Amino acid sequence: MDYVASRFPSTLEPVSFKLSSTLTADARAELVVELQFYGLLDRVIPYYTQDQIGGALLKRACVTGRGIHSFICQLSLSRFHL
Amino acid sequence: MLRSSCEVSECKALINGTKRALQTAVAQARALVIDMGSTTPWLVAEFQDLRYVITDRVVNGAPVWAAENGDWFMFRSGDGETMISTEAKCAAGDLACCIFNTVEHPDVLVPTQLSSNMWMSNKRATLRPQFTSAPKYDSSAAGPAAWVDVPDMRVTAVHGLDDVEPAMAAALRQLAAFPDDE
Repeated sequence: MDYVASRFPSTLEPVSFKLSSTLTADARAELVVELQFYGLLDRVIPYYTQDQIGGALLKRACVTGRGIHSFICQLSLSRFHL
Repeated sequence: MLRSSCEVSECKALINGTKRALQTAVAQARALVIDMGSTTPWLVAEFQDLRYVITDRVVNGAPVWAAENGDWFMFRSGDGETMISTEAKCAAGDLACCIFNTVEHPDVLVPTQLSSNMWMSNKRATLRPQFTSAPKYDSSAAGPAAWVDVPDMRVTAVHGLDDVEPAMAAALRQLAAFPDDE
């Protein structure tokens, strides 16, 4: 039995798993749903939830920043120097 | 069109405030998961090399980091200090805690931005010999809480968003477009 185990290691317990870098956002979103269903999300995409939180923090700051940035652009156009 | 110097200074303050908020968000996104512990034997095992992950909870305008053991939470107090305490104390914004950083800052600071030599721990979080021998500071006359300086705290980001991540890239582009601080 040990001989078989050493010659034919189980493929059900991968040592490591890396997502393809060519995975599209849509495909990734679908994969996340499936991984969540099977309880594998943390193993395949560690800290996925934290990444989402970080992205949300950045997006929130960017929305505010965008308004200010367009305001700066308008000032630049009017040759007004702060 | 801006008409007065007062309006100009208000405008500058708005721009600087927005830029700082963006810088904070970038720093937070770079420190989604952090490891924390004293560089010399100081904290009890429960707190030494403890990993914290960012949560979607917000207390006093700053995200809460939760220890992976589920027992401890790092949050911002009302006066801008960073504290480590239980979930109940965190939810209440209570000042009672085991470890805190004495830096009071008007802006939200990310744990990785805090000075490593400004942390204090109490009896609950400190190794007994170290606590016994260290000089103590009493936080209040009424309470038994005595604090000792943690000689050097290490806070390391172990996971965060890469610069190429779309949200991060957009934030960095926007930051680059802001005028330099005067």
